[in-house]
Amino acid sequence: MKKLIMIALLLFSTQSLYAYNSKGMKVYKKMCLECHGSPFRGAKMHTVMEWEELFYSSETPFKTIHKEYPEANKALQNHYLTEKRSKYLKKFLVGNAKDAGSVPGCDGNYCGY
Amino acid sequence: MKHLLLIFMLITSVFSAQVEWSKDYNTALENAKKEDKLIFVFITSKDCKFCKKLKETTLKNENIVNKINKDYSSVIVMKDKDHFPKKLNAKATPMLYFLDKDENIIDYSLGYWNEVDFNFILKDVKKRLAKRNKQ
Repeated sequence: MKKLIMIALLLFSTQSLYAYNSKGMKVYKKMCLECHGSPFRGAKMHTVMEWEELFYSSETPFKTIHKEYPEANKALQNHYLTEKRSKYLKKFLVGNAKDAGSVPGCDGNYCGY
Repeated sequence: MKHLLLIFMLITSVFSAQVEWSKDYNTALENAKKEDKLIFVFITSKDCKFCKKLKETTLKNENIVNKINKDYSSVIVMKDKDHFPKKLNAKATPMLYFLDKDENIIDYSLGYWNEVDFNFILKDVKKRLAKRNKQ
């Protein structure tokens, strides 16, 4: 019985972790895909520090960095990007930043993602 | 028929879009200074299948090739073998660096990307350069 509970807990925790990340990716696809390319490429626009700094420096980071781009601003006005969704997006972007996450490359011993 | 096919393949391979690679890093740097271009450094390594994939697919795309040849002086260097500045760190490959003609790093990118994503990488380099020039 204990084992069953443990397995169920483990499955639940990994699923919720994945769901958290995939929620961020979903937000990215809805908001950013058109101008910044595929989700994993888009996340690699900045390093972890740069993303953190961006989110730290402003309460509305996306509006701030897109102020020169009217089309992006228009998309940001539609109230889709709630505080909750912004958090999901941050988690996704930071977790897959330029100096984080995985990419298709080789490090001498291993080639893969 | 076989001969015709071979000739056709030969012609298409000769005229297919290709990045104009300089023979080494110093030549790329010289060319960049002479032609007022940026520098594109492609760091590869032995048995790197994603380097090969990037070179054979994305970097053969006509649109990408035209953009690179127009704006960059390009070079492929082998990690741990060829000469290139130490600051161009490459823990893994393919590692791509985009430098200005004074060898300052504008941007970098790790890994294989398809032509759609590579286009965005080139756009990002331009954005970063414009932002830096503004400051």
